[in-house]
Amino acid sequence: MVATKETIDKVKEVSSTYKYGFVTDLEAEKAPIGLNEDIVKFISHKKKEPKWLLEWRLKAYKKWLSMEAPNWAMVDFPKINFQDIYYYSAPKAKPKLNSLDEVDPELLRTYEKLGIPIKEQEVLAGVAVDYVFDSVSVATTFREKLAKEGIIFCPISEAVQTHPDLVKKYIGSVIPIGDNYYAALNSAVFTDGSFVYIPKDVKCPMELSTYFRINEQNSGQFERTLIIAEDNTYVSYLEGCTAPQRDENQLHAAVVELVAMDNAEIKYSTVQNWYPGDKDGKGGIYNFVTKRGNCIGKKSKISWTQVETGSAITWKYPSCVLKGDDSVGEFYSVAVANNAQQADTGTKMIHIGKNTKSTIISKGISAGKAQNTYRGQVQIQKNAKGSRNFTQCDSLLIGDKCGAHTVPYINQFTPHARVEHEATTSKISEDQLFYCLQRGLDTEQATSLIVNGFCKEVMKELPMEFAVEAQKLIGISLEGSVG
Amino acid sequence: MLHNVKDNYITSVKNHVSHFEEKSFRKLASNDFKSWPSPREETWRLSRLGILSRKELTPIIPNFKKKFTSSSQFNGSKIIRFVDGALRADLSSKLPPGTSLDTLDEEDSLKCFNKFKDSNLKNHPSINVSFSCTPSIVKLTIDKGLNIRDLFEIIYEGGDDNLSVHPALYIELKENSSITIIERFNHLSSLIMPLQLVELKKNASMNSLKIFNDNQQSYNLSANCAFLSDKSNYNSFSLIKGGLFTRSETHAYLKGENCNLNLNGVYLSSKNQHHDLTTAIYHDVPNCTSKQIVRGVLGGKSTGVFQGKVRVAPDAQKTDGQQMSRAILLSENAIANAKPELEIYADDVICAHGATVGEIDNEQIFYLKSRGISEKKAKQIIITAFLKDIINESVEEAMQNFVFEEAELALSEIISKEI
Repeated sequence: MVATKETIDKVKEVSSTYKYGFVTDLEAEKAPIGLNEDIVKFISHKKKEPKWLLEWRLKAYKKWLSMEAPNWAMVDFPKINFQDIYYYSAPKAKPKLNSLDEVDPELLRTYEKLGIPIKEQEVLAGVAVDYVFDSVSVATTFREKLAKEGIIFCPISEAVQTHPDLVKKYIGSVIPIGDNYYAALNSAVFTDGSFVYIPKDVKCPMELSTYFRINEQNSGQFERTLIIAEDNTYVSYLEGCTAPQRDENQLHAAVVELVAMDNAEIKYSTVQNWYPGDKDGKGGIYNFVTKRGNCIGKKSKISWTQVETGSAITWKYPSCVLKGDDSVGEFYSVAVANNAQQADTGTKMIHIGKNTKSTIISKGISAGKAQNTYRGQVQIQKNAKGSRNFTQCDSLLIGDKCGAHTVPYINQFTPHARVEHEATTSKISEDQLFYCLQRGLDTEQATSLIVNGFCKEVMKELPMEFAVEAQKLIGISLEGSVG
Repeated sequence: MLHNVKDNYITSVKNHVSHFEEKSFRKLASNDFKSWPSPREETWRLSRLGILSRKELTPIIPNFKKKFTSSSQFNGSKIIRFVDGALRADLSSKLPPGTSLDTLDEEDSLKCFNKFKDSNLKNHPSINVSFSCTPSIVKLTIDKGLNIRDLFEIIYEGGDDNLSVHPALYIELKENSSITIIERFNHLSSLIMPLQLVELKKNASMNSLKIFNDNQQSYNLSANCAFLSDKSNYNSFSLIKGGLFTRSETHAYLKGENCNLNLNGVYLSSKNQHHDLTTAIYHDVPNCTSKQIVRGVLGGKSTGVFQGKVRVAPDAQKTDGQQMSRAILLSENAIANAKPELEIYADDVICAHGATVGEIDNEQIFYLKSRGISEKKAKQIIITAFLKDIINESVEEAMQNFVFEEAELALSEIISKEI
């Protein structure tokens, strides 16, 4: 992880508070501002999509027009003008890239600043990475090695061309186009994202990874990720997000769909570090994301781990539908909200199959004037006999101007299951702080140490590469919140 | 859409207002009753009232000649009777000195109405309908420094099919006074909308026990609001067992420092009953404690709902808020819902909630069976203990047996079918 350390230091020179707050000067190709049917057609045309997909998009667009933005979350923001956003923005690069050497050097420098030098990572970490820059996927590494195993890992726009059957079969199968307001919007205008297919009996030999970045002004990012794990497979997928510092709010409305067949395991980890806005809440990303995994197969397992430190507003509930008997759903989350950030995040565990199990561990940290809400649902349906859920949500408050809220829903339709929910809210205890200070740490270091201890249960679920980064991120996010 | 159906009840509530001379607050209230809450409203999502808009209902005109049917359960208790929603002084006991029972005049009724309207209960249908239709708002006042030793027993009964009843009671405990009140709901009406406002002044202390045991066809939508001043103590326990649909909603405002609140409850549901215990506790000032324990036992095709919200205001430091809800499902077709909610804006607090839903612990059954007790008996013992536990903790000693017997009647109904 030497490389990561170096780049972090480098980045610190670039920006002091939000280290990803730089803008890359790239010439971009944009669709006209605003949203109408022609824009949807334009995107579809740009991507040279087949007719069925265009129709699917148009259907979603019509559905979206008939829907209203949800207002039940504990977040407060001015109404979004959806006509003020660029729905397609692509860096003007060479038409086709054969190797990484052909990627716009300016772009490569961006990734270096992000702390993910492609070359370095290739060699050091052996992580296969897909980069999504504004609206298009830039490069995917390690394709060949993965292809040998039969694994497909490519931008979803490419999968539409090369594996249309798979995409057609699964897209929208977990999250239908009319699922919710932002999912409908995404279905209409999604521009790129990752596609992963793990064929039967293959354990993916490396961590798959995507970095998302919003670069253009006034542009939204609408990526769509689809991961399919066939019988007896394993895949671990990492996702990281950043955006430059801007005065306006930018919209990010992604959709992630996971499908796990018999005995398949999908581990999905996110480190979300979109620009949170400045101290007074000016600017920042609106992060409205729909993530859902479908455990179709018996003994399948889907595990969500998320570290949410960024975004002005987070509205995100990675969920599991446990259809297959003996399937397992997990949700591990750390949500840090500082300054004027607002986070409303949690999960849904829908138990349908017999002996299904789910675990929810959520750690919320609020500082400054931030509001942090855990919202979760555990539903045990009639046939889910022998099912089990355990939920623990803890909140930590730093300062007396912030808020921490817990809104769990439990709905149980069978006696043969057990649901347990626990939640606590407290502040960092004087004793802990005193103990640290006595040993020569300053208040900020002590807070960071205690907070990291508070989050440990979740952090240990993250893959190594991310855990180190995530720990630092939490420290950075809480800077200036004490003393 | 259910709620767009022309609702006759809304019209009959408006017409009912014309029976009364003092109209100011009644008009305001009836104007605010525009429809039944829709299932899209968060607090009514789990307890739906759509069916009420299809029922033929009219507000009751109390019959002051009606005889009472429910007798007192306690020797020497002071009885206050409401029949058809109206106070019946002729059927009530003579109250001890220092306590008074009055009907509020128009001005005070309006004040009382506004107190409800300033609370977060303001959109509850019972507030609007009962303020429109109640025969009168009755106020029970306990004088300063008075510790009432007699048990006050308030019995609500009367009503009939297709009629709605609207008892409204305002209880004020002045400084340093204390009282124990037991309320029993034994209506025969289709719809019951009781209102209760409790005001505890400095250092006042109230034990409240409510037993909901209305007719098997009734809808009871009870709305309660409590305001606690400095060092006051409110200890409330509700046992919900009757009615087809009973929802007891209580909002407690902790307005003075160092006050203490216990808001406990048990629901025992069988057949197709729907029982809902909804509470909201508002810690508005520092140094208060609140504790909540809720337990439910569900059989048949019944549904149980517990919604409990604890809100800690920005300056309410040193708050201690604890909440624990547990439900046991005994039948394949019973449904349990829980929504414990914390909303916290102050940092130096200790707040926690826990919720569990499940069947009887197999290990506990095994433990008893291994000691020669039959499975059926073992289950009975475990459930009985489950209830005794909370009753012993929430109810003062003298009344524990009574409450437990009340619970046992409903429990045997559930157990005989399920075990």
